[in-house]
Amino acid sequence: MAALIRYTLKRLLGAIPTLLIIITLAFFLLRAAPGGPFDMQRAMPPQVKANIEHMYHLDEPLWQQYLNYLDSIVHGNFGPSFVYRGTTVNDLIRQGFPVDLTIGGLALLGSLLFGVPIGIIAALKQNSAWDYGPMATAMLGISIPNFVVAPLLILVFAVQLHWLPAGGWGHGRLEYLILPSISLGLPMVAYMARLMRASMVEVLNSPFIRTARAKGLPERIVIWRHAMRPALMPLISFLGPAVVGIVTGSIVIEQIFGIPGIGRFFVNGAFNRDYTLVMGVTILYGMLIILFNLLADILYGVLDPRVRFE
Amino acid sequence: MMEQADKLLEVTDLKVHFTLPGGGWSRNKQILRAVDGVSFSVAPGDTLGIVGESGCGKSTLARALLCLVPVTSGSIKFKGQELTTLDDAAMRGIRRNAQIIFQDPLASLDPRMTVGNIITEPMRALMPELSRTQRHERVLAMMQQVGLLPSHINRYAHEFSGGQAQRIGIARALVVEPALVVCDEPVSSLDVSIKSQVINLLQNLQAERGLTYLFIAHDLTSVRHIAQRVVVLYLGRVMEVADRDTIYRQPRHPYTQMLIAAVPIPDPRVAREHKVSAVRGELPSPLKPPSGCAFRTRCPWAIERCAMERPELRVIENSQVACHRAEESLGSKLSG
Repeated sequence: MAALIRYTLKRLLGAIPTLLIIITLAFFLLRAAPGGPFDMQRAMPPQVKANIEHMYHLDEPLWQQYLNYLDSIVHGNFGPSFVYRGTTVNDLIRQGFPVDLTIGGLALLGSLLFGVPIGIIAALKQNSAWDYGPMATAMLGISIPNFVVAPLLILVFAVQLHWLPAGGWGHGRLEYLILPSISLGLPMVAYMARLMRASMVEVLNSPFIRTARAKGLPERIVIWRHAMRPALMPLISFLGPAVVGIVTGSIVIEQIFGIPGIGRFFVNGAFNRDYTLVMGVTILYGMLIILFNLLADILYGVLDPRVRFE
Repeated sequence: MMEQADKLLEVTDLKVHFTLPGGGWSRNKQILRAVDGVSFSVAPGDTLGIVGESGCGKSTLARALLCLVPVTSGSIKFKGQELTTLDDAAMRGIRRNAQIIFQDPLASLDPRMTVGNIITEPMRALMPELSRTQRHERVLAMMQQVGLLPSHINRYAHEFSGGQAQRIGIARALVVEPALVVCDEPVSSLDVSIKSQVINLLQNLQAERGLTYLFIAHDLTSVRHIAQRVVVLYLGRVMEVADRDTIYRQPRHPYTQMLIAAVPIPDPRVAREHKVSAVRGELPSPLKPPSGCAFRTRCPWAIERCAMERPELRVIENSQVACHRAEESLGSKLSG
């Protein structure tokens, strides 16, 4: 247990340089892009533009701005948004992130809930209709992009059947969450089912499973006690990348369903050169990915005693 | 047959065939005859050695005996009860009396379990009448018998060496007090120094508990120390069955003779006098076994008849041999 805490702290400390690199790269790449947050279609009087840039400290040397930015981040302040006047990036994240968290969390939960059992059943009934059917469907699920799935779902369940709303947020009421979560989670279900099937098939052929059967254990116990944990390992290492997929996928889904999540701010911010907003969201995504990879590594150690936390 | 009537295990014309998908898009399925008409029997308290090259179907045979792979046809009678027709639940009852020790000791243990749990688990499944403390006592007693320390009980299997892992495997198999133990090459992956320790352990346990062993090996040397009778297997078929002393002194089948010749002889002068060379060539594919006698492609004495007619197992003096020319005693004048 002490080793686990020490390991977690070490990993969290190790995340600081990673984040610093992300911040530095994002900062200078953004500034290297042509244009700025206050470039309008109609040219501004030079004096006005200079005043605005002075107000946001954009007239200072770049390294000075960088250091100032680092200083404010250390104090948990992502700065004011350049485009959404009068709001800070912290405000925008506070508004938008819970929305993404809800949809992303539902999608992840749903894909685990469906993908894992489908994969296990396919592995147990290998080379039968229970295997071929779901696996072929899963291949489809992986191949069809969510910007195709989402409008189709809207067409069927909202426009034709009137079961669910076509879009909007509705203060996070369940009926508004269902279609976006399904669109986001469907490829994930497919991917997890295939992953789970492959690893389960491999584990079921390993010698220690043969031993478990020779011990006289009922098949149910052979699977739950001996095969389940090793079969989950590949799924857990997929957890980190899965969060990335959900985060980037949600940008498209938010656009299609008109959901006030953070992805919309991210895309608009990138177009408008809203430096602080894009930086804030980038850092948030970076932290999320680091966190989930750490979580996956810890789970790995919990499930396999051969993994040592060092 | 010549053995006494009370058999612990009686195998008759056992066949285990695997259907393999044809290559590419072809719909022709190929049939792999891993075990192809094997018969033998074991009396209680005896040790039967089963010997053959890798790929001859020994391990498949071992697993088939305990219904760990599906049997194609034939009969396995354990204590007079037919095993091939039992369902999973009924077979579980048999497992209390018939256990198996596997070839790769480390891979055969669940790496996520402690030694204590590995040895306890069969009792929890097969001996529900035992209380928790009784199980714990039996685990400790069993560990001591196979030479493990009580302090090992909470260690994980992956922390042990191959020899120790095999001791855990033996403890796991014997803790339910089976009558029959199938040993599927239990020492072939171990160091030479560890090999004899584990064989001695198996022999001591047999003496103490009156166990019946089915001891599978790929060479005749390890079997010589432990088995009373030996079955020689080639491409899933029985080539020769005889008592240990008979098979070493007077091997009748050309394949047995060559297996014996393959054993390295420490004295070069004795070695030079040997007439029979070791087995030549490669094992033919079990997907396309030779017609007639399976061994004829590598047999120096093969005649036309060997390609036409499959030799049946026949009794010749003290042996059973599947060879058309067994009476001619072609290469049997070995020293020894």
